[in-house]
Amino acid sequence: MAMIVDAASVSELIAAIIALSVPMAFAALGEVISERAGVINLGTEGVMLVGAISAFSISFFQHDNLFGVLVGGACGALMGLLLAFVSISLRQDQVLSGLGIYFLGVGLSGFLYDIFFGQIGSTIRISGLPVLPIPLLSQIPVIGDSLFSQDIIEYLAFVTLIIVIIVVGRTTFGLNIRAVGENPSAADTLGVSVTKIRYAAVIIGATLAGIGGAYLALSSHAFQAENITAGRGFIAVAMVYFGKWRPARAFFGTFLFGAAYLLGAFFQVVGSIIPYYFLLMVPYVLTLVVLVGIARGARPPSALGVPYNREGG
Amino acid sequence: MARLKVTAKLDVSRRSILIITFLAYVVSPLVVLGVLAAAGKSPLVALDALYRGTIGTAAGFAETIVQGTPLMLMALGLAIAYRGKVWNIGAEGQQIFGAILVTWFVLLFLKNPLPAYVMIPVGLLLSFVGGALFATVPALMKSRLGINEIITTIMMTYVAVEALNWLVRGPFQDKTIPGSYPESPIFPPETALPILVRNTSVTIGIIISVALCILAYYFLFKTPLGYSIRAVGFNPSAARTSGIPVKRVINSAMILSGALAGLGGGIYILGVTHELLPEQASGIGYTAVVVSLLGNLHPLGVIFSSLFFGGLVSGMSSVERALQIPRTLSLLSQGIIIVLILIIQVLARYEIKRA
Repeated sequence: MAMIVDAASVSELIAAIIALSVPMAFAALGEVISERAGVINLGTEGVMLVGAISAFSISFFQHDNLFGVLVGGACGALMGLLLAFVSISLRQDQVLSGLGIYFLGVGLSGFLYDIFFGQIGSTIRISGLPVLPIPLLSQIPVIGDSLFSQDIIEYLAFVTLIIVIIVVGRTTFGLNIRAVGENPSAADTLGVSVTKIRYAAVIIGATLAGIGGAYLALSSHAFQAENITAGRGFIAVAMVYFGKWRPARAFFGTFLFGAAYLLGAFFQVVGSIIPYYFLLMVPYVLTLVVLVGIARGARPPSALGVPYNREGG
Repeated sequence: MARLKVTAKLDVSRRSILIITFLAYVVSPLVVLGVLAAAGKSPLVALDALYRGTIGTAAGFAETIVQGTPLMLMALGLAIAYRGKVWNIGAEGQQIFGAILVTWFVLLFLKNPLPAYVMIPVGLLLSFVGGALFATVPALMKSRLGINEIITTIMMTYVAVEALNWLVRGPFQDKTIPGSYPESPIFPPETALPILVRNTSVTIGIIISVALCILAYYFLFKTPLGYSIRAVGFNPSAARTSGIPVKRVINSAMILSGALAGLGGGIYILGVTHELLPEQASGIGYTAVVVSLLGNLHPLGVIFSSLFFGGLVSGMSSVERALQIPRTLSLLSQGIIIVLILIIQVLARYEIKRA
């Protein structure tokens, strides 16, 4: 197959991969924060779904996409609060708590969709986010157009990455997060409130997942009733393993999956001898393969998944 | 905000477990009615439809059993796995793969089916094997490489769903009917599970399922492997120290749960649909997670919780018809129920006091 690769198409390709990756990238960053504090949020998929439906509804009814992203993040935070309550305060198993959040998110988003849009027959469309080219930088050949001519949320993703790296690595708050994730009783002895730090980490993490879901809904212009995330939340969790709990690795790991989703979309358009449904499988199979590849040598935070109990019971 | 102090009880009495379980059963339908009321629908009309769709009419009761049967097997498998802290979330994919394998076998003999006493046992066996095979991948990934099984079983489910979507539109599609609907040819009558109650879809599947639950009770509580699964779930490092082959136990728990899920899918396709449809991916495997929790991860508890949920599924579809409400309401109710069960369970295991 002869493919004509020119600068414009490479640029479009990069831009498309970034757009597909950003929702997962936000969620993966959020999951890193949560897991570094010792709490797995397996409900990320559900949190993203809630962020997606709330942002989409705001965008559709209020015509304000940025406000939609904010509300998506806030609704994500509420889901995070619920997860924190069940898994931190009630010390229920984190796996089960995450599952509960996942199921709740699936049900809530589907139900809200039916309530808001169920009566509307035609495909519901919204306007996308405006593109903001950065002067000068966007003029760079090949990459300029794709890297520096994006919508505001895409820039925000990269800004968030830098903030997360700095906060987790270089601030007292970040130190506390890592402390309650590695050795909560030692942190407690030093006067760090394990509960408060974990609550904060889970809620911040869920907020980011909500923003990721919001961006997914807004960037796809039209909403699917069920499961718009199609496993992206779980892939984000897998990317935290892949990234060995480091923000940048997890963040850029999701770009691999952005590319995989693009592959499916690309062949859907041009048609191919490979059945379409096999292309849809690619991201999931890729996740399995990547997990096998990095299985050895990944060391999670020591207290990951363990509810903290001062009495030690 | 009042400060609450949560302390673990040293021993949880059987009585408090029963009370908590009872609470969960009462709360679940209340949740459904509450959500309906919140959505501006009449809870009384819903209650009436719920009653008629479950125990109020013979048809509703039959449908309750029909819906509860595959759920029972899937939830049973999950209960066994979860006892060993093996978090198989992929019963959906495993049941789909079980049904796919059955369909493959039936289509081989579509024109000249063998007698029913061959077709049915072999079909069910293949669904069992299909589920087991599909669960072997996450089992090995967990036991050999320590990879989180929740992520792998969910990824496997997505793969199964896409495979199903492809098969019903490709190799398994019924090419004889015009319009190319995504479905396989209708299975020959030799593959249909024997009907137990005339004019209903209640088949011997319910007997198989209940029998397996009782068998699983003995397996889990009276055999060495069952004991090992529970020991690994209780404390993996202590189990390892005491000489239990933890990896092998993890493999057994995961593969057994996959096999039972596959059998659930097989019983559904041979007992209810009699053809492979895209709707085989109905989300029943996810519902099974809730059912196994509601059954307290106990094989005998699962018998009740699955029939209860079968009633909820059957009743909800009658509610949906009566009130013209979306199907997603059931999904939402399931989500709320699972979170509430998690919160309620804490009441049994912990004491909450003002500090």
